[in-house]
Amino acid sequence: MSKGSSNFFINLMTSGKFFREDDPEKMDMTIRYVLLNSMIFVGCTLLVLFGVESFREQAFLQGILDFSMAAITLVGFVLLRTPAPFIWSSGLTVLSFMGLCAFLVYTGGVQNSGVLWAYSFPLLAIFLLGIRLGSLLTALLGIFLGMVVLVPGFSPQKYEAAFAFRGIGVYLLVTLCTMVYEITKMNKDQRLLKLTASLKEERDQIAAMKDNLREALFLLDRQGKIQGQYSPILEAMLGKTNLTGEIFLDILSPSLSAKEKGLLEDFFAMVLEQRFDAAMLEDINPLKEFTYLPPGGTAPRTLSVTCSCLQRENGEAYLLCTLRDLTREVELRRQLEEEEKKRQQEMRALFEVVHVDPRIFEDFIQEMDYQFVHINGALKNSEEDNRQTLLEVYQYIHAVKANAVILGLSDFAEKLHSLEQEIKLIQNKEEITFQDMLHLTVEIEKVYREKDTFEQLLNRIRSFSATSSQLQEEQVLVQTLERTIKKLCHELGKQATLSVGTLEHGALQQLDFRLLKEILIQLVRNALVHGIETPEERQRKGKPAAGTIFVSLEKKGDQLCCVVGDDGNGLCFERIRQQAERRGMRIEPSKERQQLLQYIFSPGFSTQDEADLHSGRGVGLSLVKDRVYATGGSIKIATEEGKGCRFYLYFPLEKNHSVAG
Amino acid sequence: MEKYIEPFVEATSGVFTNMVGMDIAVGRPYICEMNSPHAWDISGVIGLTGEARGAVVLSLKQDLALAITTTLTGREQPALNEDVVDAVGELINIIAGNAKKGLEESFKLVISLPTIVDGPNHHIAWPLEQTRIICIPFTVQGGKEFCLSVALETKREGLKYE
Repeated sequence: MSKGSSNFFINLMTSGKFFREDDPEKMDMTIRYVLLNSMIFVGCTLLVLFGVESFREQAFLQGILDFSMAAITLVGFVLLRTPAPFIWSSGLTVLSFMGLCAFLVYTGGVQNSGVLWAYSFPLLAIFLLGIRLGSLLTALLGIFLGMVVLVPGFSPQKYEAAFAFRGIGVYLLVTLCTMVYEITKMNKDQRLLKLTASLKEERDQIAAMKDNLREALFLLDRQGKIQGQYSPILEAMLGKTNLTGEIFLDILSPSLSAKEKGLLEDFFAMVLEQRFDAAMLEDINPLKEFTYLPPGGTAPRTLSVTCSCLQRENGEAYLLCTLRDLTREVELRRQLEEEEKKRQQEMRALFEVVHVDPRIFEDFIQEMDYQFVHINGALKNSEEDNRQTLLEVYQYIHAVKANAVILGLSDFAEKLHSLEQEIKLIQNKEEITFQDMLHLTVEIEKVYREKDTFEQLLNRIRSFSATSSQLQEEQVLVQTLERTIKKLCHELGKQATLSVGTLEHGALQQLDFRLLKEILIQLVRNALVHGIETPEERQRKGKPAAGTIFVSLEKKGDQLCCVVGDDGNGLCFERIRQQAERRGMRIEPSKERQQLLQYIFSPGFSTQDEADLHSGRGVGLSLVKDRVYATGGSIKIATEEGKGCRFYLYFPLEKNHSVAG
Repeated sequence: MEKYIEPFVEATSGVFTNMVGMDIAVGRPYICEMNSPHAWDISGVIGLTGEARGAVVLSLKQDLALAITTTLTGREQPALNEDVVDAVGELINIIAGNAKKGLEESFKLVISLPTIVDGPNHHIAWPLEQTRIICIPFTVQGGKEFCLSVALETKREGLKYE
């Protein structure tokens, strides 16, 4: 049967009705249409034959009935092809057939075979009209049949009891079988419907996932053809529509070399073989990251395809492929790498610069400035032609490069070198265009900016080294004093901490550092040896076991004030007086305190009975006095018995200080 | 950088040739310090933001500005007046508009309305940290000159996700 005639046949049998694939009643209704149409064709043909036969046998009523029935079935056939509901046509056919059956049962038909016709009625009624209506009509006809065969005198025919029971029995049997079949079919349909619905839901979910993934999924068969159920995003990624049945390799063809294509074919074959380890396959995947040239000359994309083998139940193997668009990712990666490279370059440049002595570096920058002024002059000079200008610019750039190389600024030298190359390229051109010169100017400007960076760097190094030296000095001072205290405490069995107050930045710069350090060490030692008591003694006095030595350095007007204090015993004037008297000093009672304070700064004074490493040689305070006086400064003392003692040293700030002695 | 400058150069040539009816020759670009003294009398400034940030400035001497205004208005101009300022503003506006067409095809740039600065050795506050500009000198027939100055910072495009 050719396609056209088979289509015509199908159309004839289904009355040209088309049911959507997802219509759950599709199967059911199609069968009902086919059944009804078959009935109509067979019934109509038979009825026409019977009608002719009846006319030949002079049974006109029978004949007319037959023909009118045939006509009715034909009306049903036409009705079926209209949009009218199925029930109209099926009802018409079934009811007219029911009438025919009733007539044949009533009249007995040829050789009493009328009853036989009735046996086919349950089948038709129930199959065509459904279980409810069909059973009802079947029951009605059954009752009529029973009345005909059982009630004497009801019909013109006389039936034997045995025949009657057989007739009714067979009718019942056919009815029952049909009902059972129909109910079974209905149940099956319902189950199928449920299953279809749940399958559809599952499929919809999967389809939604597939359609909304940012990665494209698709299947390739053994021939490498793309299967129908691919993600819609695949079309966007490949820049092609209607991919079903397309050979994937052919689509990639323009983006691959012949060798790559060969590799890819082998790779697909290996994946399909399923004998290889997935990780190994991923390693040799030629499409892990490749540049795809979409048709129509749009911008190339970076794509990544991964494949795995999918074994179907029918033994068919497919390649399940995932396609990812890495374009953005690769672009970002490139940007990151560039940033990283730039940062590293900057770091390198910084290191290179740090190694150069700042003064030499400054000379280099000044030299550069000079060269750049010349470059600008050459560019601006409209009397000269481009070639002449290029030559001059080249020479100046070259000079800068030479200097950079000498200083070991290899990174910068490299940039200058590539600028030289650019100039050479332009020089080699037949014609030098405005664009060339503009490009060159822009590139030169970039080098200028590089110079700016160097200048900033130089300033930073300067301030950095300045602050760092300052920091160092302060730290050195504090650390030295702390070390002094620690060492002395250990030896004297005392406890003390250093408390640092204000340490003015500028102050340290304006004073001889060594001088200050020396004075402070003397005063701190003095405080520890003479001022701070032993922990036991301190606790007896209700003080914390550890004493505090306080140091601060501040500007006050045009003077620098240095304070060194302790929370120890304070000066013991009684002991000082005894010592002074032993040394034969005359003390006037009215000026006793002042005299004694002056006396402690005299050389050889010491309240210690024995000299040791730390004090007792009588040089401590006299040395402090000499040093401070040498700078033109002054000393004040504040002391309170049992509470502590403070030395205030004032240094004038306008002079340059030198260390005396 | 030059890809931002070239559309302005082309637009300037186009506008002078077609609108003002003066043939111009573009000279060799050079670099100059932003705050160095100059001899221009009137400048039209267009700000750029977006992918590149900065400004493009068209600077003219008085005689050329007057000549252009005369051509555009059809009246002799005695000195720098409202008409001249308007004419120069209009000129730079058209140049910017034409350049914008060329720029917007490939870059994400926003171009501001032009501002006019005038007076001998007038000062232009460039909206940038850098201290140098690239100047493109033009010569008009008859030897008059003007200059297009450009200072741009190309912003590094940050990492953004679509």
